Order: sequence, then C-alpha cells, then structure tokens
Amino acid sequence: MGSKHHDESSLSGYRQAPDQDKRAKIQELIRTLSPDRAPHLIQYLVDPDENIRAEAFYGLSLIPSAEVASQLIPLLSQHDLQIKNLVIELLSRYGKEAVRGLAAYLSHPDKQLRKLSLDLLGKIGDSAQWEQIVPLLADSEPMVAVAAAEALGHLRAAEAVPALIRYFDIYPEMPPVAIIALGRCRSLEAERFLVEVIHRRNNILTMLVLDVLESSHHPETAQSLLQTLPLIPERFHPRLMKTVCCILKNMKKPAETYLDFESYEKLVFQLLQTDRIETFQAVFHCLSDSFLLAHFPELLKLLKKPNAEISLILLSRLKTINIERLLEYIQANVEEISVDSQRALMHLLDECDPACIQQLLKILSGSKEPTIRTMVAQTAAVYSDHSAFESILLRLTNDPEPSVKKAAYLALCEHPHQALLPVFIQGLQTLDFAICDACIHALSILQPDIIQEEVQKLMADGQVERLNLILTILSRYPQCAPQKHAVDLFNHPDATIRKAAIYAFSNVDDFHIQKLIEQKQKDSEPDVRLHAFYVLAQGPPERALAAITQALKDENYEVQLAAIEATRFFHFNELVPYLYPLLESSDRRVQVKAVQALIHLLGELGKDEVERHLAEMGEEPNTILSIAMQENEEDILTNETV
Amino acid sequence: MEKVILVVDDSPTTRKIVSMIVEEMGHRVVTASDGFEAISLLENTCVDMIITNLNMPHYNGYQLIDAIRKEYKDQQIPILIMSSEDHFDQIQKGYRLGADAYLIKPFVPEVLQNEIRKWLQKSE
Repeated sequence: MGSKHHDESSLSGYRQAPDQDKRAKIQELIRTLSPDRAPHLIQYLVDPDENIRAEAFYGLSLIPSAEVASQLIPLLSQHDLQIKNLVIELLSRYGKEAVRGLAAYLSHPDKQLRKLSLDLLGKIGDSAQWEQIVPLLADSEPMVAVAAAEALGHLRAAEAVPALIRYFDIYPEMPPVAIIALGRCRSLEAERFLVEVIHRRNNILTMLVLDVLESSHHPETAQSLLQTLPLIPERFHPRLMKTVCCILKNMKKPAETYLDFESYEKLVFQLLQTDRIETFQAVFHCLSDSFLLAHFPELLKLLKKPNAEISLILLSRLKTINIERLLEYIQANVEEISVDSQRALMHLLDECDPACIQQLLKILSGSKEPTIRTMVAQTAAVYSDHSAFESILLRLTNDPEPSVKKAAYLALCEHPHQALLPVFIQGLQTLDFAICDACIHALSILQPDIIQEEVQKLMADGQVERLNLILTILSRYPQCAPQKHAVDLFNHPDATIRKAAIYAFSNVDDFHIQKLIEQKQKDSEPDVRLHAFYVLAQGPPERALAAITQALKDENYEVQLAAIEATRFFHFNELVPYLYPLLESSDRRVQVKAVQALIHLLGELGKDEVERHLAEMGEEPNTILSIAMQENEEDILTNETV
Repeated sequence: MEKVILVVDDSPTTRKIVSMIVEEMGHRVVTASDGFEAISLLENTCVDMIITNLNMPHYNGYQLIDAIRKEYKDQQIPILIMSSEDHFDQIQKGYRLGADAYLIKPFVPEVLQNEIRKWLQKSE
C-alpha cells in the first residue's frame, strides 16, 4: 500500500459529512471479522475520515496476528502523524505477534522504518532480540544507531553492554542515549564504564551518569564515584554525593560499612540543606545514629528551614536519638524554628509520652505563630483534666489572638471544675459568642447563680452589648435564666435588651415569666412586639391564638404581616373578624396577605365574601384578588420546588 | 536568570536528556509526556520556552503548537520542535503552525543548548 499524506485541514470536510456507505462497509467487515479481512481494514486505516480510521483501528485491534502485523509495518513510513500513531499503537497492542515482523524491518532501506521498528522492539520485545539489534548500533544513520541504543536500554540487555561501550562514541549524538541505556542494564561492567565517563569532564554527560547510577546496587560503584569528586566541578559535588547515598540506600545495608560520612561532612550538610525531599531522604537515610548524635546541633539548625516534610522526617528520627537535647534546643530556639517544623512537632506528639507532650506544648505555646498556639490549645484539650496542661491553657486564655483565646476557653470548658470559676467568669467579659457560650455552659454545670450575679452587674454597669450577648445565649440554658431580674430586663430602657430578654426567658416554664412575655406584645417598640409575638406563636395553641389576635390588632405593618403569615399554620376561624379590618389597610402587602389568609381560612366560598368586602371599601376587588391568587400560586410553587 | 522550560516528549529517555541539558544551563525544567499533559500544565505554569516532540500519542506536537499559538497568542513563547521526522513537508508544517525552530533527532547536546540560548535571548 502506498503512503498518502493528508493535510489536517482536508480532513475537516470528511468530519462534517462522514461517508455513510464506507461506515456501513467497515461495520460489516467488523461484524464478520477474521484475519483475511485485514487488507480491507488497513485500507480504511489510511482513510481521510477520522471516524472511518477509528473504526478500522478498532477492527484491526481485534485480530492481532503476525500476518496482520507484517501488513501494518510498512504504514510506519506514513507522513501523517495521526495515521502513523494508529499503526504504532496497533503494533504495540499486538505485542509478541508483531516482534518477528518488526525484526525483519531492521534491515529495511528506509531509515525511518528501521528506527521505528527499533522503537517498537524496545517496547514490546524481550532481551532475546539484543543480538538482532546490536548490529544497528553501527548503522550509517545516527538516528538508527541511537534508536538501537535506546531499544537495548529498554530491553535491559546486559549482554549488549560491551557493544554499547564499543559504539559509545560512534556519533556525537550517541553518548547521552547510551548512558541511559547502560544505566538500565545495571551490570557492574556498564557502571564501571559510566564512572569512567565522568573523567571526560563533560558536565551534561556527568549529570546523566550521576542520574542513571542512582538506581545502582553496587557498593563498588559508590566508592568509584567518590574517587571522581576532584574531577567534577564543585557545583556537582552534592549531586554526586546524592547518587552515592542513593546507591547505599538501595543496598539496604548499613551505609557506614561502605562510607565514612565524617570525611564528607561538608557535602552531607550541603545536601541536607536541600528543599527536595527525595534528595534529603536519600542522604539522611544513609546517616548512622552516631553521625547524627555527633552533629546534633547542626542538624537541629535545619529545623529553621521551612519544609514540612523534611522537618517531619528529621524530627521523627532525632526524637528517637536524644529527646532531651531536642526539647532543650526547641525551648531555647522556639522563635527561630520554622512554622513548618513547629507544625511537624505537633504531628509527632501522638508518639510521645504525656510528660514529653506537656513539655512540648508548653514550649510551643510561646510560638509567634497563632496557628501553632491554636493547635497547642486544641491538643491540650485532650489532656485538660491534667493540671499541667491546664496551666498552659490558662495562659492561652489571655492570648492576644482571638482564635487562640477561643481554643483555650473551649478546651478548659471540656472539664470544668470549681477552681476554674474565675476563668469562666472572665470568659463572660469577652464579646465572643463561642467563648461566652462555652463559659455559660461550664457555669451552668458548676454554679448557675453566678450568671444571675453577672447579669445584675452588667445591668448596673449599663453594658448593653455584653448583656445582649449573654441573654441571647441564655435561651439555650433556661436553668440559668436570671429570673430575679426578669422584670428589670423586660422593662430595660434599651429595646435590644428587652428583645434579648424575650429569648432568654422563652424556654422558662413559669407562669409569671410567660405573662411578662405576653405584656411585651404591647411594648412601645414594634421590634420588641414582633419578637414577643414570634416566641408566643410557637407556644401552645391557645397562647398562639391569643398572640395572633393581639398581633393582628397591632398598628405596625410588620407585626400585622407576621401575624397574618402565622394564620396559615392554624385554622383558627376565630381570627376571621380580625382579618377583615386589614383589608382596609393602607399597606398593600397587608391587604394582599389578608386576602390570602381569609381565602385560606374560609375556603373558595369565602372568595365572594372577600370580594364583597373589598367592593364595599371602594377597592377594585379583582386587582387585589388576582395579585393575592398569583402570589399564592407562586408560594405553592416555591414550596413544591423546595 | 533562571528560566522555566517545558519539555514535551513521550520518550522518558529524551525527557531525561533534555532535562539535563537544560538544567546544566541553570534553568528549570517541567516535563509532559504528551500534548494533553502539556496543555494542562500550561494552565498553571508560566514557561519561557517550549521544546516539543512531534510524534506523540493522543495529541501530537502539531496539535499542541496549534493550540498554544491560538490560546496564548499574546505571549510569544518560543517553541522548538525536536523530532526524528525529517521530511520537508513535516518541517514546513511545523513552522507554518508557529514553531520557531526545528531540530532533527538525535542531536548533540551542545546544539540544543545553542538553540535554547538563542531563543531565550530573542524573547527577552
């Protein structure tokens, strides 16, 4: 089959109008699929229509055989990259079936075919092919020779190492690829040669050698590498050291058996300064406990670097070597240790004993970083029944950072006891909802009377904002409601306090208190009346009915609207007489809502009655009615959607 | 000054070699194994130069160059093709789509370094 080059733009026309006839034919071929259909399918594989090609690809992928592979290989010379890729993908999928065919093309006159055959053999072949590939290392085309080296590397053909070494310099393009190929072969012979390459003093080749040797398992290679140190530029020294450490790590044997790290102390610390976790790990892993102990102060200085992962690795190990020295250093340098290291320390706490945890938390509670101090408070919460941890938390309740202060209070409230009473009272002085709530919770357990006293003090001092906050929270603690001061609170000159009092006492089951709330429906302030209504409407039905009746008579539109809305939830026909006057309201919203409520209470029959009333008032009944009905429908729709 | 160079190639060997060549020059490398990966990488990374292969699965080098030149038309990021495709039409098509240079694989490392240096200087 001849090669055809199709410009991408010419394909677009086919994409818009796929050839249905061709599609039918190809689908028929797939339905009756067998290897003898391959030539037809291959014809469609080079079709200009992308969809036709995809179908042909699918059909061919189902009939992997050496015969079909041989027919596909010539298509590798296609200039159209999309078609070429389909062929490569098919041959890759054929795997072993394609190997023999590809091997036959290694001597093809077309260099592209030789090169692609080598690429594919590298992917799907096995090391048995090395003998067929080796001659191509000396191919007259550098492209082919380099592809042969790459293929041998992919096949990890240790037998090909001598040939790879022999042809290493055949072309100037060869060495980089040959280095990677030799590295993959992992033989000692290959590695010896690679170390020799470093002697050439070519930076790129040196870097490649050091990179590929990272996967070596030979201690001899590590030792020979160290001997090349004087040959390479100083900037590559850490890289070489990393490679050595990687090799020692791969051997899974004590590294100090092979290398005296003390002699390379400077390089080791240069590498440990890295931000790259894999480099750090490779080196750190090789260092013995005795080395680490001997260099404890230098290692501790690494905690100043901002790298969470490295800090965690470092601390996990140093902790096991000498925890006392570690704590001592952290205590003396807490301000200099990076936040990442401080955070790493927090993560390590689980593995420590309580005494160590307490000491670390004490140190870290002095951190400049608020998130660390918050973490300290949160961690101490687990142990807050221990007095030692309590003292840390007590200190943090005075922290300038609100989030830290909050975490400390919340922690202390987990295990309240009498000695902490002053702290909880102090907590009530804050204007933070969560702190006040936690302190009220603690006081409700320890001594509810204190809250009454606190409320009295706040009233006397005229501290409206704090009083309002505490009263709002008290709605959840009816047992702590300051009943002694109820009358004063309900008659407080500030409306926000009267409103807050309604909520503070809303759950108190006491006749006099309930009467006081009912009286608030006649407060001078509409907002207070409105909230009194809300609380009462949620009570027993008879109280709700009285509250709605009162609110319907209220002069304020908002109170009226809330009351009308409430009628929807009850079927109190007694409310009808109170709704009719609202049809005359000068507020359109009240009028409309009243119409809706009346129709709701009276049913469809009530509609005529409402219409008559509106007409008597001189209103155009249809207008209000239609608005009311429309809004009603919208409400129903909204409710259904919800 | 350190530059960021995106290397797009489905061959890990080429990615490794080009990375070393670029790092040796003191620049930083980010790599992608096909056009799709390159496009998604470009969404979050600013690069100073792109070196791409042509023949890659899923989304080839031509498609990648075309997409970059359309998507990032305000940024004249130098694009260098490195490919073993050496037919005149293929080279022409690469330039037509917006590539700045075309290097036929395999290449000598120093040749690639010279090209990188040249195009980075031009784009400054």
